[in-house]
Amino acid sequence: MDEFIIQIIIAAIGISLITSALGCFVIWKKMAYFGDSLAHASLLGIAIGILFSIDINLMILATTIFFAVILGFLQNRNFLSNDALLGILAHGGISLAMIIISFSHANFDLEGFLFGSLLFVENKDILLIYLALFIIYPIIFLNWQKFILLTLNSDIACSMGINPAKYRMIFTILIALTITITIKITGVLLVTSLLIIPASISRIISKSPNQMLLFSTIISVFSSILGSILSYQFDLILGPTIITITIIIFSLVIIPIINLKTILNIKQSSLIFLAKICKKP
Amino acid sequence: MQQNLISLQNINLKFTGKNILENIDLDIKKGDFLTIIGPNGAGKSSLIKIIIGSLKPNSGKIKRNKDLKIAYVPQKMEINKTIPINAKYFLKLNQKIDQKLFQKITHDLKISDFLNTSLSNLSGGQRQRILLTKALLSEPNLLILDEPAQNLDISGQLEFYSYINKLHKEKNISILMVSHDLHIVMSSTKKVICLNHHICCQGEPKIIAQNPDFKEIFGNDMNKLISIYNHYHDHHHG
Repeated sequence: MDEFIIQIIIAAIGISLITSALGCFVIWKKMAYFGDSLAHASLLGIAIGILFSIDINLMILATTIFFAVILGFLQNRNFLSNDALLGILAHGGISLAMIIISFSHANFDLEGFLFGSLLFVENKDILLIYLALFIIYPIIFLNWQKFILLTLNSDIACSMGINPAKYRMIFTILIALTITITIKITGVLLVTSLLIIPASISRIISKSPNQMLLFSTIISVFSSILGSILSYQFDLILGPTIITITIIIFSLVIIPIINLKTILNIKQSSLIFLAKICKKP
Repeated sequence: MQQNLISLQNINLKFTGKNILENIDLDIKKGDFLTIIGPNGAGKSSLIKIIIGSLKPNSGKIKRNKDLKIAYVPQKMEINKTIPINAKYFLKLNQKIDQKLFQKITHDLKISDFLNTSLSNLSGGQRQRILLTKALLSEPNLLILDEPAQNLDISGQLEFYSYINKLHKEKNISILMVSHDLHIVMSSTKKVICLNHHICCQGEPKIIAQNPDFKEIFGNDMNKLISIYNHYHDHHHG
């Protein structure tokens, strides 16, 4: 194996350690669409960064935090529902980005930014990923119980002296940071899948929050290592390869659950149906 | 003069231009047992949320004693099935647990049978007892309950209120409670606060039952209650 694939694997492991942990909270707080919209809108940051030759990572982080703050402000106003606001944000961001890109004459690898590309991952990105890991992990683990309590009932948390607004802000910044470092691997369109798929699989097989975190991490790390190797060996696009592996695991876990119930139902209803037909003269 | 645990001065709360709370002055002292009653939408839950700090009033002062330790039991807790969590894990969230106290409360509130049950599989009554347990495990000196007996049947309600009374007497925990159970509230001797955006009247049930404001808000309900009692009475002796 050459240095390049090892570099990719190290980056993918770092990212999956972060996304699997934060993903549990995205599932619990039902914020999948929130993450998705921020990620899509961050294309605007990429476009601006390229047009004015500003560091792209910095621009992604700035746009996601900026949009998250605006969203928080508008959500408190209750004029519009959350899903409408998120839709406006995502599509507005993408549209503006495309217009800005058409102005810039720089060589812009749109497909790479939409779906991720191996070629984007440099040494400085790996450094950034592990720097983010060292910021995000202590915050999550030191506040693990507080975050869970806030998710279950923010009033109880508040009565125990936990400030919901502060933790909401911390969480939003962590999501923005995660999106920033993940985009190069998965692309703008697929960032959220690394957050939600491993955690969703894990939800089905877990009995406690700690278990859910553990299984989510194992599934995520396994998928990203296997995905990196397969994508290198068979010259596949990286992000979609990793995500396809997680989807296969998801299917394997969910099919037995669906099967039992639906097969029983189908048998029953088809028997009733047959009986009805046979009765007819 | 007993020390104030918390003191609200001239609290005003507006929401989308509507006055929810107007000029609320409220002192809660050590050993108090206060019950807030009022019609739907009177601002009862908002007042509670201001006291626990999850809502900020538009104006007014809140003074908290440095010894104040609040525990809060909400009306109900939304079921979130996406979190795999059982009752025991929930009770331990964000607090150190004294084993002796834990044993005693689980025994008193009869929750030991479903400690390992997932929160989302508990009945309304069971979940309410778990919420009270969590509140008590933090050893508060002010227990705040928002319609705590809402999901319980009549015997469950009586049991719940008698347990709260016991806590108040034996442990000297101050209690602030929102209640819709007029038949229980008005038959006790604890201080009642009648809230309808502002504090209409307050005092012992005997006294406020004569208050014109109270009669205007609750007159019909009280008459119904009295007729139920009369019916009940007839039934036994007639």
